[in-house]
Amino acid sequence: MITEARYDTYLQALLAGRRAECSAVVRELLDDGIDLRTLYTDLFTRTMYRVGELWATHRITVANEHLATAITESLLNLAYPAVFSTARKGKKIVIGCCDQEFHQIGAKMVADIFELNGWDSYFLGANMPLADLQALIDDISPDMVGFSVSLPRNVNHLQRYIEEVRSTFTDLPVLVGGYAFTHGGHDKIGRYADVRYISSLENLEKWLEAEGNDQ
Amino acid sequence: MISDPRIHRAAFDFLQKQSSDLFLVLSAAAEVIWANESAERVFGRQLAGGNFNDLLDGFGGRITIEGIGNGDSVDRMVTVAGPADTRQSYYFSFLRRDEIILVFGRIDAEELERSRHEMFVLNQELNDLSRQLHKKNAELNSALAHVKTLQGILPICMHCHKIRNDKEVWDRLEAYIERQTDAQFSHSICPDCLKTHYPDIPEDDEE
Repeated sequence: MITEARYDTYLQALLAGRRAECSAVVRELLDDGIDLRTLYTDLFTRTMYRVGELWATHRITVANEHLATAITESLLNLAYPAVFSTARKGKKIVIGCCDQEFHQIGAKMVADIFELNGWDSYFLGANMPLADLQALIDDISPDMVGFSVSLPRNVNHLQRYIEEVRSTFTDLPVLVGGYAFTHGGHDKIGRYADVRYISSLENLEKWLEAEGNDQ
Repeated sequence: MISDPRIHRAAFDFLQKQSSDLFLVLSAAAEVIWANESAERVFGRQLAGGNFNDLLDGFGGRITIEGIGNGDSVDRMVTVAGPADTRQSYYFSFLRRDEIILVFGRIDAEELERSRHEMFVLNQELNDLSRQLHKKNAELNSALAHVKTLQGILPICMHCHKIRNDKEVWDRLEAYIERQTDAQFSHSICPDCLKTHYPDIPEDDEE
């Protein structure tokens, strides 16, 4: 549904900081009845990965990247009426980003996909303090905890978070993902039992559907 | 000390035409003797001959140029009034050399970076709050959908108290209310009916 022309229009508007133009594209897609996972994957994720590449190769500034991020995150609001309208399954997940990880859009989209599939997601956002995470887990007893990591240097923080959480909640399943694992790093998390790596929102949805069928 | 005049010339040309920093030379009375192109672009006018204090934003931020001693360097953050009523804050260094004062103005990159980061985090927090509101709103709507109420005028039989439903069928009162609300009935017997229908049973045995 998202043509290359539409993608390019959106990307150019995003890079130039033209928020209203980006919003118009997203509203049109929603009016056309696009499913949210496609919107998240083929527009938001794809453009933000492109923005990340342009920043990493010094073709746009940090300010450009942050503006594109802020615009994208604000546009998620347009999808929320649909995100929070599905029947509940009585399952809970806590999702956030580790220490020093300020890129939270990926985690938020993962939380939304869980909501779309009937889970209650508790989104703790960027740079989530470990103590807050542990307190919430203790309080609500989730079925799973999820972490998103965008910068490879933050995988070390992820390991610390997994180990700290597991020291108290020994059997709590963990979900990890994010741009940091696009070019490796899986060996660092492969050593932990019951830590599942999900490479994309599409694979997350497939896994959730399989989980739902197993119930 | 560099004595080659070509280097002096090249450095001066750079300051004059290419530097993004502001560079001005003032008299001891704060009159602008010379300003580079960047300064004139930021202030939006020719500067030579004017008073430096007149270039600042009108928030009472005058600088006592005359108070800067020879050889002294003074640093001040000041806001300048640009063209079309724009405002920009610059970090200025004033350096007195006998009868002239050298003025360098630059944007405080560290301050800008800190502000940008704070605004980025603030934006995230606002969007997170918005997400929480949408989620809470959906939860409240879901709860409301389960709340059933009765309203309007109900046609009720004056003798048997059956109620006529929207399909023109007469329902027993209990059946109607159970269907239209989340209430349920548990049958018992009131003292008056007990006396009427079971006159042999004492009131204490009602339960």
